[in-house]
Amino acid sequence: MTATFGDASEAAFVTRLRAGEPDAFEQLVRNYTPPLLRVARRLLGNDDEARDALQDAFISVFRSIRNFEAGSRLSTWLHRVVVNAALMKLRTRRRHPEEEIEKYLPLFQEDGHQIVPSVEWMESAETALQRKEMRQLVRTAIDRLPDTYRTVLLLRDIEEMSTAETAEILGISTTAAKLRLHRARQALRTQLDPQMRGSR
Amino acid sequence: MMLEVNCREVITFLIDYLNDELQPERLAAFEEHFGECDSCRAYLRSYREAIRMARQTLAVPPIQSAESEQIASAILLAVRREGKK
Repeated sequence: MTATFGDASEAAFVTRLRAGEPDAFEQLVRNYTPPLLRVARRLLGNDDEARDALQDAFISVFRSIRNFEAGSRLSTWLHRVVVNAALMKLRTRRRHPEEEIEKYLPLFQEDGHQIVPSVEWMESAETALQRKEMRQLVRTAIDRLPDTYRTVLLLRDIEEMSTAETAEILGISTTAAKLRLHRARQALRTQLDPQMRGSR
Repeated sequence: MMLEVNCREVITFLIDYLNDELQPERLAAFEEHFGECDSCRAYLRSYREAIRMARQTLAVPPIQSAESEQIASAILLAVRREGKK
């Protein structure tokens, strides 16, 4: 996560923000636009929608900055507002109900063995992704994940945030964040498996 | 007697294994299982590859400062309009 301020300077900056200093808000927008725009683009996969979500988020921040609680880091709070704005856009855009993640999770026999044993994939990520259809397949597989799972995957595996930061941004426990991440990765793996186990 | 784990346990708690969050005895049981079970070993490797594929597919080019400045200026304009309402 972007560390734009040290602890002391962040506290001073938040005080200026809460006092409604226009320069402070301008600095906030200019400093945080790059990292927050990147998150919105990854969540939405569309530049125009990402810009709209970011604008919605900063308007929301402008209205509620006085309620910002010092217990949370500014960066974490801003990410939370942007993620929520992006999720709102995703919900508006969706034409079909979300798929259930359970259909992509591994199944086991009574003795604990996998019903369909796993086999080695035939090529590396790098080699497979040289093919356009494989890049498209990965993108489709990620898009097919339910929002709550895809968001955790993006924040943890792509943005490389910690489990604790991810949990705080999403307002869930660290245990729930870890479980969602594991399921999201499993669901992604299951969707890629038919191509990867037979490819080369 | 050494702790034993089956495929269901290994796959269910794979994230703890990858996060180095298993107790030593359980970690040893997982390592033992991976040594013996082709299916779980394949699952572990493909799970890691799936993460790498997601990472590489969703890599976005760095946002250029000119673009960032332009977007930030547009946002500030919208926020000021909002503030006057």
